[in-house]
Amino acid sequence: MAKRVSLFVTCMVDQLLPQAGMAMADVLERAGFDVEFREAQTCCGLPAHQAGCAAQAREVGSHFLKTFADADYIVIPSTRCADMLSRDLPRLFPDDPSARGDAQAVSTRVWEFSRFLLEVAKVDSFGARFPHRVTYFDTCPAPTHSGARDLLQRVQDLEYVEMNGPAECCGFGGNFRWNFPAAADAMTLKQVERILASKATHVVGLDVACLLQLRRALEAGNHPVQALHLAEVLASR
Amino acid sequence: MNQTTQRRADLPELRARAAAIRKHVLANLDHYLVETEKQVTAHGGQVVFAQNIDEIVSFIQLLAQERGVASLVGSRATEVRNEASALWRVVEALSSDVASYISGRIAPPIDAASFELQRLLAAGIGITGANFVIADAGAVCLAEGDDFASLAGAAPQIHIVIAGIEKIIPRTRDLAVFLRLLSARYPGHSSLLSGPRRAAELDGPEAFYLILLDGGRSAILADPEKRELLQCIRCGACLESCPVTPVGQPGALTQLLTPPHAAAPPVQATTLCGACREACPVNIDLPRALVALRQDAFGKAEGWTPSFFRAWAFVLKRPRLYEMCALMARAFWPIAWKGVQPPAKSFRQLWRERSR
Ligand code: SF4
Repeated sequence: MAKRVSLFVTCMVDQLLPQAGMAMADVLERAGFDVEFREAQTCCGLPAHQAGCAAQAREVGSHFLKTFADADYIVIPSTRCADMLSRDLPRLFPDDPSARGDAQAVSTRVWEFSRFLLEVAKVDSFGARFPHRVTYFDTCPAPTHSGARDLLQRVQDLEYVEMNGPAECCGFGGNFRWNFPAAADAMTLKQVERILASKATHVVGLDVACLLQLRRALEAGNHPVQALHLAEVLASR
Repeated sequence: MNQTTQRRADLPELRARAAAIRKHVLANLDHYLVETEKQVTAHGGQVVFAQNIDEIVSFIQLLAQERGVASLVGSRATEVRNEASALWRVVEALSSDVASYISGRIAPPIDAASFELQRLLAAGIGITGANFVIADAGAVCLAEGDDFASLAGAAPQIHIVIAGIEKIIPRTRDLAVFLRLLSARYPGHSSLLSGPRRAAELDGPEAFYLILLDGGRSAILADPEKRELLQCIRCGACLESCPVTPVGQPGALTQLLTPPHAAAPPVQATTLCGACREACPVNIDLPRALVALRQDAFGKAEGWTPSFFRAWAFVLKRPRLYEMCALMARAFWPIAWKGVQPPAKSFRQLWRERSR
């Protein structure tokens, strides 16, 4: 029997980049998994958590735990939400051992998309074809997800180029972008320059927030480079 | 691979060991404080426990008076008179020594004939800040990369070393681990000093005091979300890795590493990207501590933010309400995400169509 994976598409993919979620479902199905989407899902609680608002992060986190209590693999097209769920959520229940236990149990079943493909699915080829010059934008936290490069290199006809210069945050950072717009834009521009210098036609990342941040800057500068989620490349033929 | 990832890949075992040693010390701090006092005393020195910087300043002033000492010299500080405000600044700088690393201000070697050296030799009291306090040897390690520090410790009559209580490491041989991690970034020598001069020794002070400063550290130790911060060895790698500061906005990270009385950038000035966590040689989860700072700030927050998040959570716990609100919010996205058009349909809409 095929293994079951449960998509957690995150509120941002649901609302802002649904095609990345659809592509993720395609890739997982082609890799032989039964893919389900639980309609009750909403958000992981990250926006509140990052703002320092533990009480509401806990409420929304609990809703996540309830929704996915019996899921085997929870696959997520976002590095930051995956990080929130696996690293931070259990710590939000210091005084509630039973909720903490639930959170710990679920956190081990949470997988960021690229890591799921590399560490669980272990598929060699996705039958994907993408005849373009592509670079990978190190999505924070960077070293944890650097394996995405390997996946890109398995795509047929894809010309992979590495960017030069230090990989740094795209400047989004949740409310950081709203509180410090000038600093955020300066950070984004630094990364845009690295992307342009690579002469790639497509830049690939693992988190919608970064991708939209980069896309905004690329469009504002009239640069014809497209920012895509890894799933979108792996699903193309 | 950028520099940070490279550094991390170089020394993973070393980092794990360093983190384990620091964790062990913090979990057994009572024991190591007692051990340190025992060993320093056994080497002829004296340990003084201070709650805050004011206490240190009065201690030094009193000592200077008793001994009839007029001139004091502090490492890295050029001029110190026995004046409370000047002393306060020196003590503050020495007890939060990351400052010199941030600015890269490492003093050049002292020229043998220089004015500084003369003044140093003439000083009655030398004050230095320790990078590490070694419990089993009752010794201190000054790894400041400048000659001034070691001379200020060895030349004047009285040597006073200031260290936060968290600077203790158990054994002399642990130094190998920590100095390697420090020197990977700041090449320079370090000196190991213990107690006053003994009969057969040529130089060294006549009296040696180790002042162990609490300065709010025991409160941090009691807070599980921030405790890890005391593992810090003040290497500055996290600050160097921070992408926020170079674009002209002081990053919130400095708030974690400077004492509470320093003027600090706002806790919101971080994207929580995690570069600092990757850079830290003792594996401190700095983003988590930054979130803890924001939680403190949020507890005091007024205005619309708390109500916003209450409403937000109310909606997000109710999938149908969420879907309705998201539909309405669609109208505002072009404003929030200027230049990005919202897609025509949400994922859940597409998914329903696909399953039909
Ligand atoms: S990198 Fe770690 S040890 Fe170094 S200063 Fe920052 S927190 Fe301290």
